[in-house]
Amino acid sequence: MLAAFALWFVVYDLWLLPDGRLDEVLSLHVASASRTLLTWLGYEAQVYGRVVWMEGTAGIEVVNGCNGLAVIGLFLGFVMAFPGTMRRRIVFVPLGILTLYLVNVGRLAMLVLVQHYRPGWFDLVHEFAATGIYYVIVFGLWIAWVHFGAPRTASGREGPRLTAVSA
Amino acid sequence: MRGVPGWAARPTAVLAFLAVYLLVWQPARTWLIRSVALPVAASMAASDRYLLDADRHARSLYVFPVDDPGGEAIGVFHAPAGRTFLVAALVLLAMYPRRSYWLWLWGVHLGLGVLSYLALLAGLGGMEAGFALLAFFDRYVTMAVSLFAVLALWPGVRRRIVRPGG
Repeated sequence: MLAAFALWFVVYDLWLLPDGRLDEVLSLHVASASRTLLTWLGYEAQVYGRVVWMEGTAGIEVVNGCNGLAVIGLFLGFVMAFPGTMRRRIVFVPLGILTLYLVNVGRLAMLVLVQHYRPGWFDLVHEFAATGIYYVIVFGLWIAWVHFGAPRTASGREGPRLTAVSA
Repeated sequence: MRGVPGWAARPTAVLAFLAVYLLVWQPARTWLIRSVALPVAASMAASDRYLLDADRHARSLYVFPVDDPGGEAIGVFHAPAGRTFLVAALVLLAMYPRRSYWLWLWGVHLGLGVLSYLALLAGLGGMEAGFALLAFFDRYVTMAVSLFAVLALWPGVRRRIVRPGG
């Protein structure tokens, strides 16, 4: 698993993040989708580039490294490392990434609402709730992969395991 | 936890742990950064290249380039066993109040803290890869260790990861 995270770190943190283009595209998309979500919910939100805001607030800027890509790496590292069939992996990975993307959109919309209606709570929500929910989702996806990734054999036993130790 | 009735074991373990964490471990983390990590790192850092600073609670240490002190930190070291450890340990205690799995996790976080600090010192000593390693530990390994510890002991998952009896 460490090797999978190391690979992601080299590809994303040392190459794509400094390059900035992937983060730019994703950040703009997340900001735009958050504004759309807020509009659907009946709030008057605005978006300009990476910044989403409601009237009378400074807005929330989706900066590089805070657009969910690092969390996607956390998700992918486990799914790549934990045993499972390739066919299921091909199905599960896009679903997981889509889930994390949607959570990020919801997280940003929530932060915009908190900034507008409860500005005093903003730091607390941003620091704990908005970050914590991400990791709860990643954890849920890991558990889902443990159950979904390894199919049951014809005898009804579970599929591959990560390690076998003697008790 | 001996002598504590079964129904009270979980809340007792969680509350006792939380109290020790907040009253003992958090001040210890502050002391670690303020009295050990920062002075040692400052003595290692080339003063013409790096500026070191701690956050207001003195639980994180930031490294800035001298020519851009207001810019983005090129290295961040957090005192070990922070928020991700706390949450994971609370979940472990809630699941297994009479087991000391949290203590193992604490040991692993301390080990990661030592490795991270050595990476920081390597970076300050001129090996740029040290800062990259520090970021790797901070962004992925520390979180992954906490999540995996809980996952490995999660009911229904544990038997899929570790097969008792070989």
